Amino acid sequence: VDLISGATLDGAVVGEVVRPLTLEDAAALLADAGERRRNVYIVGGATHLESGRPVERIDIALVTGGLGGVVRYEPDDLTISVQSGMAAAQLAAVLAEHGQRLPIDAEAPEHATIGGMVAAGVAGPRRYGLRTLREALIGAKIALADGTVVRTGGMVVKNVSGYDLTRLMHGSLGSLGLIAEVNFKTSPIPETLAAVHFSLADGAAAARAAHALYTSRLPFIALHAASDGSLVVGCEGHRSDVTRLRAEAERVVAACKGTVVEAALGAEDVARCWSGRMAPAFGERTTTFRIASTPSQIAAAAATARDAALRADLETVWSADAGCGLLDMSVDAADRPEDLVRLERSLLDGFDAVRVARCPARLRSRLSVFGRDPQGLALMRALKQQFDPEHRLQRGRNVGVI
Amino acid sequence: MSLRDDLLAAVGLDGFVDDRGGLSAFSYEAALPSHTGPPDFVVLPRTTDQVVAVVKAAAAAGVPIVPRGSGTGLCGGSLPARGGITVAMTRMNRILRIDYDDRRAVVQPGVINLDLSNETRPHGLFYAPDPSSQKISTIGGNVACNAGGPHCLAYGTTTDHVLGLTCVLPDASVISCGIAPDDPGFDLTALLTGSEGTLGIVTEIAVRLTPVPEAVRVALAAFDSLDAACRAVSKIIARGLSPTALEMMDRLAVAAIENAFHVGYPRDCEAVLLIEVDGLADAIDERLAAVVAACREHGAAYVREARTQAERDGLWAGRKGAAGAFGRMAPNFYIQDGVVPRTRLPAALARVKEIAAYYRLENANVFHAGDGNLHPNLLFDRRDADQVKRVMAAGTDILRACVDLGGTVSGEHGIGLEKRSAMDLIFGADDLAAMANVKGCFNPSLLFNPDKIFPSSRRCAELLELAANASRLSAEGGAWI
Repeated sequence: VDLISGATLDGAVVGEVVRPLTLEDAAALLADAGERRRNVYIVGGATHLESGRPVERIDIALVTGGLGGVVRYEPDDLTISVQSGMAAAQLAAVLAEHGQRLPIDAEAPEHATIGGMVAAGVAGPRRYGLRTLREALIGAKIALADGTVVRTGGMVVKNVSGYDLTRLMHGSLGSLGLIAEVNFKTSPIPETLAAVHFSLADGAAAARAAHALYTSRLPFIALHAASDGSLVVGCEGHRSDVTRLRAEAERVVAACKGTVVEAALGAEDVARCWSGRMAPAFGERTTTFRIASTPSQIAAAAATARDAALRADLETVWSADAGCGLLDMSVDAADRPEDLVRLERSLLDGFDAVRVARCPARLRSRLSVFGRDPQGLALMRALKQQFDPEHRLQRGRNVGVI
Repeated sequence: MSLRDDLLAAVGLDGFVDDRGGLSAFSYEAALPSHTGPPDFVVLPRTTDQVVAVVKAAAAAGVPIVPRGSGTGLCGGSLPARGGITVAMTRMNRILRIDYDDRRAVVQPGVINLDLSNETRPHGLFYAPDPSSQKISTIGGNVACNAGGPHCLAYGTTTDHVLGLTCVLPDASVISCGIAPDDPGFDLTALLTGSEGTLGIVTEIAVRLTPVPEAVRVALAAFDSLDAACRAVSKIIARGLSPTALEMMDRLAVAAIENAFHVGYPRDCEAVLLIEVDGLADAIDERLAAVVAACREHGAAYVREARTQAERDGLWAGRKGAAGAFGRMAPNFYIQDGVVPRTRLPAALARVKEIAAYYRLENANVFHAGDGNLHPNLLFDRRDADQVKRVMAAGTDILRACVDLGGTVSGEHGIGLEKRSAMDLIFGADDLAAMANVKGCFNPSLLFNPDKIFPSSRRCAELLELAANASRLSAEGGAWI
């Protein structure tokens, strides 16, 4: 990410910018920042800054892009260790040379860093079948706020030696330390991949069709419906399995009066298709709420969320992962902060779990961002206190202003 | 009131044990070489509130508290290292809710692993983690150890199937975490899973249920050498053939299983590989054929495919009953749980055989080859002190060999009491200090399952004490922001 001293990052003015090239550099920079009592904001590709609370001040931005190499790749073991600043696309290219992949979709794979995606707990439209990076993680090296480097997990696919600090990093937003290196188990790229794009009358029909496919219990990799009536169905695996899945999908969707528009085929086109489904609906003006519902309630959730937005007089665009029961609802409220605040409140009234996935900083500062406080907040504060006692990393970015 | 009175008030007379005979049963688990003295009290709570009351009573009295499931652990994790109260969760054995539509269930920790799948299978769903102890081990105990099993090769271990937890913390507060998929903050569910009861007592578990695959194929391949079988496994993995399970048994293991169960494994070979492939019916035969072809390329002399459900069950029954079969071969056996990268399996097995020979011990191997997760069993008689000494030394050497090959000391059994000193083989002081910090946050009194996971070295004890003090101070000072 291009960043210079004095620039603004997610609404905060950046003091210094540092770009470590090695793990040792990174640890030394953190230790030095500690001695100078400066706070540090860790930045990967800056693609998911908006998924946390905006920070007030950035003394030092630590950009991980220089930590961009493969530490060790063992294709025959299906394991890889990489530095965290490596871009998702670059990692995908390294793995593809051996017919392998990391099971993850990135919105902007050229920019998104793998460490940033772990920290932000990113998962895309194929989450239903691919799961999240949490399940692919097998180890890490973490540089703590005082420069201590901690090793967790290892390079084997099964490991219960001690507490699972590796998975603790997933979704931690960098609040506990700099994820400097990450180890993953990789997967073979399936023989055949397809993302079949259907068109239905409207979003409600698309959500119903997606749910019908979910209830078939067939192993679709993704069931992604959207408010424009589109439905993209992911089919991956052995050639004849994919043929069967596509035929089943076409049959079920036809019964819902949907038609096939096109199909992306092959690993690269399919990945591009799914990345495209993650693009913000209103560009930089977008606010996206991620609502955790359930597969059986997804169509109703979409309707409830849309009604809430209508009451706030905001146009909505939504997409739904019908396999996971997750709804992403987007609005353009760039000029209407009061309405946005009202919308967040009514979503929190209507749903158990709502968090902001994207929102310009000046608006986000008025939102709760994470919704209701989790029950384990006191423990989370204690963990922060142990790992970063002076609260110098990503200060105030996490839930409970941790 | 005395501690005894408090506990009786908490769980009632029928949930309370303090007679000598009753208590002594709780000084053992499945790991035979390690046992401790008995606990001072055993309680068998039925509700989360009862667990809270027990934890309060223990805290007030300042005595250790040790959670326990069915006692099938293999590393002493549920043993009362310092006496105190054992909280046996076996009576909290209700399935609280099954949401077939959303493919999840909420269970109490004492539910037997297999009971959940037996309940849901008629509805087309199952609970995927399947430790070999699944007929008797509890899901709570599985969560404590982050248990694995043969099918974890394809489906992932317990941590990948736990959606959320309700947990009584050492300060007697109750939290639920991980209920929504993207819960904000730190992933406490991940931390609690595999924490071996050192961070809290889990009282409710939300788990993912998985659709029963449309088709399953099971085959058995026999090899003339263990080395060739290991190479076949490495090749199957490297080719990305993605079988559901790849389980290996060596000659002695096959003999033990055949003597006990007569399931029809070929005795005249050095290694048997049990292969399972599942998925859609369309490609299943082709996918199995690809795995079998890899076996033949590596010299599998004999391959047999199970044709019926009964044949499949038979092949699996042998594998899953292996532990029982060893019981007939020798008075005792000691099982290790090291892991190596899959390409290092041939070297790892060669080392295991060398080590067993050096210590003059009989060694049988039944293991999750596809995951690189070894289970070398050392047969012995605990009445012979010299044998016990040799077994323990061989065990340590095997773990060291796994670490030297780029692996680790436990894949699915946990660390407990038994493998504590092995933690030093893989982690340095800073790594252990980070874990000690976590423990300090949850368990500042260090009375929850004491002496587990962390090495017993003085340095590590100091780390734990420091972390606990820091946590207590910050709590008292209210400086948690």
